[in-house]
Parts: sequence; C-alpha cells; structure tokens
Amino acid sequence: MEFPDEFFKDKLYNSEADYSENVSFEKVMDRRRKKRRFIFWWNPKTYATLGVLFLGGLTAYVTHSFNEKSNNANPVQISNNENRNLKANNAKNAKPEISQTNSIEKETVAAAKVEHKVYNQSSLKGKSTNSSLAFKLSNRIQKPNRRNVLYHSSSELLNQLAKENAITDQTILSQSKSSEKVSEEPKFAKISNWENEDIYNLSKWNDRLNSAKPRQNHFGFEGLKLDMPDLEFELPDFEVKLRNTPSKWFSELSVITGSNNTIVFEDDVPLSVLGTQYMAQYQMLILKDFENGSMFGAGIQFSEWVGNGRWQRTLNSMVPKVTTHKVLISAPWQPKKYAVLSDTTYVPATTVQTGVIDYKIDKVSFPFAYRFCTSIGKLPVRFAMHLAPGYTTLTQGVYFTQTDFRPIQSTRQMTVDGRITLGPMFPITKKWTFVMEPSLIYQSFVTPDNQVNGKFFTGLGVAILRQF
Amino acid sequence: MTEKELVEGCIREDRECQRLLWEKYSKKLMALCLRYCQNQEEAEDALMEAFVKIYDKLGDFRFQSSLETWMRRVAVNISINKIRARKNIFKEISESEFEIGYSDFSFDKLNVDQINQLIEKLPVGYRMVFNLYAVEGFSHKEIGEMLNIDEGTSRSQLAKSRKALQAMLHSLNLGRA
Repeated sequence: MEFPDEFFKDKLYNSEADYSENVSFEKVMDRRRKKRRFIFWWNPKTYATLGVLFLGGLTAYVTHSFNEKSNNANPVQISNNENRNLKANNAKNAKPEISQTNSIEKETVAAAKVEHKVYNQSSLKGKSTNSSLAFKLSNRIQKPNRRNVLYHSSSELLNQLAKENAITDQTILSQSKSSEKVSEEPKFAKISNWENEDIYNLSKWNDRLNSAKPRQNHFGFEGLKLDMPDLEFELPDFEVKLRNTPSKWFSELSVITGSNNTIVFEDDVPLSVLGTQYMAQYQMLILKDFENGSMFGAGIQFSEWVGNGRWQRTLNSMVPKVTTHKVLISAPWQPKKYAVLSDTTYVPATTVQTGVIDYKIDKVSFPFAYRFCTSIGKLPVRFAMHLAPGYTTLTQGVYFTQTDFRPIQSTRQMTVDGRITLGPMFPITKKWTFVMEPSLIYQSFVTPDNQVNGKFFTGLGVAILRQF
Repeated sequence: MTEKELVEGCIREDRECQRLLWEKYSKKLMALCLRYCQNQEEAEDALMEAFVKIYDKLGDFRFQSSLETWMRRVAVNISINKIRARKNIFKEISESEFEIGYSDFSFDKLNVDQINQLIEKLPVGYRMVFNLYAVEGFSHKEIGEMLNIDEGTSRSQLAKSRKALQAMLHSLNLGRA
C-alpha cells in the first residue's frame, strides 16, 4: 500500500500555529533594525577599510622614523663640511689654540668638538671671535652653489650655536680643572705665559710638520703651513647629499557629500517624481607627486547613496457624463405627461495617485585619482579628477528617475563613479594640508541586464593631505 | 490588496504592508518552523529570522512562484540552517526500533495535532526529509541540494521516516483501519 503523502500535505500545508508573546511584528522589525546596524561590523568592507587605514598609518610611522634617522645623520656630514671652513678660518687667527688642542685634522664629530674648544678658547683669551662666528654663520647659511639645503631659520641656528658654545665652555672648564690637578699654577698665569711654552712655538711645529710625511688631508692640499699669515684658498664645493629630501608620496583622507533634486511633479506628466538624493563618500588615497604639479594615485572608497521622495501617477481619461432633462408633453385633450430625456456625453477626467519611494545604495570603489596643484594669485588651488570602478554592497528600495521608478535588485552590481573638483588648499604644517573641494560627482550602477542608472550630484568635500 | 501590491508596498518599506504580510503568513510559517525545529523557542526564533530575511529580500522576488511558496522556502532554509549545525542529523537508526506490524494502516483518524505529535517524535533527519518531501513537495534532488546530502540518502531517510510513522501509529493502536 502506498504511503499517503497527500494526506499529510493536505493536513499540514495550510495548518497554522500560534506563537508566544515573545514574537510579534514589532520585534521582527526591531531585530531587522539591529541587524542593519550590526552589518557594519561583520561586513568585509569594514575590515578592508580599517586595514587600509592601519597600513597607511603604519607606513607613515615607518617613513617618519626613517626620516628622523636621516635627520640625525645629516649634521655629521654638514659638520665635516663646516669643519673644513672653520679650520681654514682658525688657521688664520687662532694659531695658539690649535697647538693647545693638539689637533689639526678633524674628521669626526669628536674632532668638531675639539675644534669648537679651540674656537671658544680664543674667546677666553679676549680675541675677537665675531669674524669666526660670522664665518660659521655664513657657512651654515647656504652657499649659492651648495646643495646642502638647511631647514634652520637663522634664530634656530643662533640658538644652536649658543648651545654648542655652552657645551664647549663646560668642556674647557672641566679641562682646566683637570690641568689644575696636574699643575698648581693658576690657569690665568698659564694662559698669560703661553708664548713661552714650547707647545706654542710655531717654528717647532713647522719643523715637525715638514719632517712628517705629507699626506692628503681632507682639505685637498698638502703640507699645511700654519705660519702662513694670509692663507687664502678656495674650498672645494662638497656636495652634501641630504637624505631627508621631501617625500614624493602622499596619503589623503577625504569626505565628500553631495545632493541632487528631482523635481518633476506636474499634472500633465503621466508619471512624475519629486525626490531628493544624497550621497556621501569616504575616501583614502595614496598619491605620488610627479614634481610638475601633478599627482597620480589610487585607493579605496566607500559611498552611501540614498534617495527619497514621492511619485505621482496622473491618469487622464474620458468618462461618460449623463445629463437628464424632464420634458413636458402636452397634447390636446390628453393628460399632461412628462418624459425624461437622457443625454450622454464624454468629458475628460483626471485621476491622480501618489506614493512614497526611497532607496539606498552602498558601494565600495577603487578610485584612480589625478591631481594638479597650481595657484590663483597667491591662493594655492588644486584640481582633482577621479574615476572609481567598484561594486554595490547594499541595494534596497525603489530607485527613481524623473519619470520612472522601480525596485532595485539586491544582487551585487557594478558601479562606476566619477568626480571633478577645484578648490583651495590650506597648508597647516610642513606635512599636513587641508583642502576644500567643491565637487561635481557622478554616481552610477549597472544592473545585471546592463542598464546604466546614473545621476550627477553637486556637493562639497574636505580632504586632509599628508606628505610622508 | 493584491499580492503584487503587497510586495511592492513591503519593498517601499510601507509599514502597513509589512504588517499585513506578517498577519497573513506568520501563523502558517510558525507551523512550518515548528515541524522542523526542536522546540517552540527555536521555532519562534526561526520565524522571526525568516521574516527579517523576507523583508530584506523581497526585492529579489520575481513572481515566478506564489509569494507564499517563496516565503515558505525562505522559512525552510532558515529552519534547516538552524538544525544543520547539529551533528549526526542523519544518523542511522536501527529499523528494529520501528518494526511494522501491520501493512494495512490508515492515518485518516488522526487530526492535525496528532500528526504533528507523531512527526515531532521522528529523529531530526527523518523529520526534515519527510517534511520537505511530503508536506512541502520538494523532490529528492532538491532536498539533496538543500541538505547537502545525496539523493539516495534523501530517499532512504524518507523511507525510514515513513516506516517510523507507521510503527508509531501502530503503537498508538490507530493503525488498523
């Protein structure tokens, strides 16, 4: 005997069951609302965006650390160069000091410190060091044909020099104390008798230097003669290659909003829509400067696009209109009679239906960006273009145009967005720049049947630009 | 209000249309969920989850079938997903547990509650396949795809569920016509 499946279907298919008080329509809608909020956290696009931001931050941190190291390394190179200039100067007007420190060549930072001692001891002896200081300043401040661009302002430079002097003063004091331990002679006496000391005897030094094998020193000349009263030589221009040249890479974070109004709400249009659409874009870009004012880059972008409004359907038709007339029929010797005459005519009638519509589209795009920086007068401005292919991550509701509306398919759909902007730039610091971007934005999505739905928005964006 | 108007209203997020849809189908879908789920709480949870999905996905409904069929399919999928996490759904059950004593059986005397009670006593795997095949009208191929099992497994589970029902009917002394 065959099993009675139909019996079960008949009995059970249309059966109903009650649910408890824990279940209601309102609770379903609450759960739906919570799910929409929760969707932000589990959606992969959220983590992709956070990942990009994290990587951007990490890259900025690493680059910043690298630049700091480069900055620390540069003074050594610069000081070598300074030493050469300073030494030439000291050779002219600080002979005793050179012998006191027993140092002729200075290749390192330590050598530079010794040289500073010499420089300061000359000031202890009451000799004018103004010319040396000025020379040093002039060396630090750019030479015309030198590439070692120094980013110090003159006040910073003076502070730094004062600091160096302070350090060397302390060094001298400590050195003096140690020498006092060896000899009980007062420091002043020793200084006052310097001419009698062998160590300050220049002829002896010249003998020693002449007997020594001449060697190439870092000035590029041999056989340094300290007794040359008017030593004049041109220092070769050493190319100081700075490692902290400004980076060509930038990161940019921007937020753009826009709106678009659809206002065709007229009775003579069969189907018309009164609606407003808003969009917001959140964008992160990595850009490269090509040094002619142009930048190219790419990144990631999340867009929200919502629209709401009303539709109106106007139906014009001809409806029958019946008019009746009562006619008296009066015949001789006959009772009065009335007749009703009906006259049917067709008159135009208008039926109007209205309804509410709204939709929401979220999408993730991958923008390719171009920037051109220039200035209008003294105001730096930036022209920007974007082209951002991507895909929708959420589509719901009823999409509308000026004369049509239809439900959007919730399947993933291709999108192509575009944007052009022209706006002023406001430098905040050397590395951070704020940009205002009045924008014209194009938003679109392509349905699976290759129908392109697009709209233009006007709006304003703000961007923050950071140089790595 | 026609079915199409109801669907379009729900797509527009018209609260009245959504409420109408709930009132029209919630009890039927509750009965459906109860047949699949283990208990009332699980069935109620499946029902609410199903309606959340229905409201979200109504834009995908193409009117190629009736709205009720589509909604039942959604509710069935939700219920199955709730059960799928459990292991050994389709464990082999000794047929001796459901020995059939009589071949001439009749379910005519049973009312809906009694039928539901009988089905509820079936092992989960049997119950799912029986409900999908006998009540919802899915083919073995469709059941195999939905439950991620072989078509043969679906057939054997159905056969075993039928035997089990007959055995239970016999034990209730209702089996003899």
